Amino acid sequence: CLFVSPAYSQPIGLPKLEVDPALLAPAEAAPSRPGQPSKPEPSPPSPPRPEAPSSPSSAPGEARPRDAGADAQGSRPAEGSARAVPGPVSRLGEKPIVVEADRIEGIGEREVRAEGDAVLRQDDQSLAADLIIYYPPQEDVFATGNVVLRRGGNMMQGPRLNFNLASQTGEMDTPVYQLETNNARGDAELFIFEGENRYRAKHARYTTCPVNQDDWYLRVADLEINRNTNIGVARNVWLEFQDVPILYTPYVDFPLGKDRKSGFLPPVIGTTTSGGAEVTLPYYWNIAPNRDATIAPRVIARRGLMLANEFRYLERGYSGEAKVDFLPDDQVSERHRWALLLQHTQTFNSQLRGAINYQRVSDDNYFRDLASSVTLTSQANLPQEGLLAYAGDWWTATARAQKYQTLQDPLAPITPPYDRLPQLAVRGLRPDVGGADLGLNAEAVRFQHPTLPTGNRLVAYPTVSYPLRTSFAYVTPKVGLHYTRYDLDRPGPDASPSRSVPIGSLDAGLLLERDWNAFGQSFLQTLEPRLFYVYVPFREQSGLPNFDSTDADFNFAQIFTENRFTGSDRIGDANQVTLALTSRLLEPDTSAERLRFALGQRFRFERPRLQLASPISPSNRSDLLAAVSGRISPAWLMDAYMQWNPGDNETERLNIYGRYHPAPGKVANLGYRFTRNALEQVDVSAQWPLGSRWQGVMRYNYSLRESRVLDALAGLEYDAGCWSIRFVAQRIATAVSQASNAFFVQLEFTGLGKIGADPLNVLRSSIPGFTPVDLYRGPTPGER
Amino acid sequence: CGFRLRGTQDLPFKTLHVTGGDPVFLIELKRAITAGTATRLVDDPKTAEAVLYIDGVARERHILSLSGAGRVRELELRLRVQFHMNDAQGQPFIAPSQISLKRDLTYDDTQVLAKEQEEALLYRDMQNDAIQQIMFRLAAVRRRTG
Repeated sequence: CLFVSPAYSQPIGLPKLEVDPALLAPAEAAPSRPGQPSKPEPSPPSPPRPEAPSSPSSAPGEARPRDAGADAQGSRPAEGSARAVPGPVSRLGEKPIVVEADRIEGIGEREVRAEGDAVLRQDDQSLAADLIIYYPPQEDVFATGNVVLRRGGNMMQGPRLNFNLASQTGEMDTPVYQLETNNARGDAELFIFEGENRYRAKHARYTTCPVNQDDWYLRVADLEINRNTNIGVARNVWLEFQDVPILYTPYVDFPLGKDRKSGFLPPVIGTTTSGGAEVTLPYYWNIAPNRDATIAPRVIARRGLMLANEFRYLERGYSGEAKVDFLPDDQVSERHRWALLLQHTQTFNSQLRGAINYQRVSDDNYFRDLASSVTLTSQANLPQEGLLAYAGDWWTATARAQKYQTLQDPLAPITPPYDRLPQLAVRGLRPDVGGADLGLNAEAVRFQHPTLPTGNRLVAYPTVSYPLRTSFAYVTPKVGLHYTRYDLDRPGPDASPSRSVPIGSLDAGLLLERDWNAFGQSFLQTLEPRLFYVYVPFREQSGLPNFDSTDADFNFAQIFTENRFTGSDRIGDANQVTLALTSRLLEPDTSAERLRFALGQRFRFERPRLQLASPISPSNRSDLLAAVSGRISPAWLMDAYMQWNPGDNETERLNIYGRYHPAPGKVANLGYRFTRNALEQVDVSAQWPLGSRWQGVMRYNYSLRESRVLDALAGLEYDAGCWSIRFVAQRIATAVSQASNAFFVQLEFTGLGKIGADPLNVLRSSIPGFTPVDLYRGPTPGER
Repeated sequence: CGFRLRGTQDLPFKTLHVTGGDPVFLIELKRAITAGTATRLVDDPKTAEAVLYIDGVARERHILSLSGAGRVRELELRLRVQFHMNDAQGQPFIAPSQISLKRDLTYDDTQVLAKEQEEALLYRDMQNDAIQQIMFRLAAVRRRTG
């Protein structure tokens, strides 16, 4: 399988792409018809977008009964209806217009004058004022004194309004508005209705702060909103925070999208040890529902201007992304620095798919110098590969070509991996051929390397197994022949060695269950003993090359495999049995697994002879494996794993992990990991509210073995409701004697940049159970 | 101690349609249902008494620990399977559910190819585990309705 490299698997904070529904619709279904009304959008774009009366949304030609009385009664509050005098009714298109007021005078058919709490209503829009004069022939409306225009949850008020219902044009002086989305509000010097679904505002202000809290404003000298094309254009835009202008752009256009929108994402200001101060100002470009791009200029004081670009696409049948980062003429290393990532997956049909993953950077130190997440800095081998995979009814085939770019740490150089140019593999299992299952694993590979021995390898491993099973037990005897042949690029008679090994195994298990009361509930508890016997005769293999074999991790998956080595170059001799016992607690109603215990050990009848890297233990008992994992209470999750060597009475591995997660937004993780002679570290991380507006997030990963901080991060977030600020300090180990320190500040304005990558994302990905603040926080005091 | 041999795994429907997921996962799941129950798998959802939807199979890898040199020392592999099951009328048998599994893998930059195969082994192990858990969930439908 092809997996996305850890480099780019961190959440980037961007919204999900959606395939354009028109693309998914059957070909005969017409795309959206011209002239169809645009749907009401729950979330307006960041700049002001007051709603105004717009054309009726029913289709032309549709007859509507003229039922003014019912309309007035239906939409009027009970106490008002006593006062209300339903006024004359006109019709525009098919929506009736209702006028109500304390006093209504009609001058023939030419003029309707409504005075005192006057209201003009059409559809879901209403206009209220002290005085409304309506001229039916021209369909002109003039309103003055406490003019309030409402549509849905959006409201605009001002002293005066001129409006023509027919052409949907007009003006409102010095309006103050409120929008439903984000509780946004603001004002303008002039608001102009420029025809159906087209608006313009002069010298407008926009904020999501509550009234009397003027922490920030977005100011736009000239704003155009076109809801027919769903495009907004703003000129001379600047952002003021605590009365200080902090951002300016002379021109910006943006689609009036539903959830995603173009615009600048919250800027990130920071400092790192190697680059000095830096500012990143990402711009998110929402090209289409299924395509977007992020362009992030990043100014690094000691290095220069870097451009980070990312483009994503999603279509029926294929999707992918491309990232190009370019730092021309880095002033520290005196060279161009760049990174490239191309990922594409293609689904040809339900059985055949393809993928490309190509990653390359300009130099070994690229990530150490320019990245601030361990998923990037820890990478040593960047994959460059193409893949085709076919899944048949009972078999799969893959073809791929794969290379790597190896990034060296000068103090700890490594041998680059073999390139596989190409690798062809077939895996099949044909069930129930006369009661037997026939299996085949076959692979042909060309191994390429600049310094190591190269050659071709062909592996074929046909098997026959005969599974016998009842509801409570199973026995599967299996035999197979593992055949390998090499064609090495070296002269001499031993250039084409081969090896055949018969392999026999027996896998048997029982399934027992009982009802068990624990934690105040009645669980179904299972008990699953399993026995796995393997016999593999010894074969001398010292003359064979080693392209991809090494000692496998000893774990619960491995003890049920036939070979104690990974890869196909070494097949270990074996005469051994594995015994294991698993017990699960299943939830009473759903049988969902709540908790699991497992024990396992392998016993050898003969001491194996084939040795690869690590020496063969003299004991006939393997290490003992024990594990407990699951939810021990609603708030506590635990996971413990131990590998114990009974011969030396030593712990080989011990991993303990606990998570306390009492509520969303409150999580603490505690971990201890130990591997004898290799690793001992603690890993603590948490997200916790500190008072009503502050929240803290942290991670501390420390190696006790090397007395070194591997990854330390602390973040504080202050949330003022309509804006928030984050501080993040970070230190990560990037090489044997290198570490990277960084400090970042990020300011976010609610409703302006809700989406976007931010420095906390790194931490979010490393705090299991983290909940983004806006997913659990209710309205804070003072808001709404 | 009260343990008994597990009884029949027959499901309350004679025919089942399974859809979604990636092809490899689907093959293994269908194989488990065919071999482990008396329920027959059908290709046409209209003729099935129940439809099992595999809504997503996600495989992820996360860095579990770093070496002192800042290189990956251990990876955590995660498999997440989302599914739900409806009866022939579209009424839910199993509400949307998720099975999350993880396995640790020691990592070594000098053994990329070998580690890739161990990774595949652990994903297969998790896949079998997830399928076994789905089988338990299917059996629970029987216990509730029967």
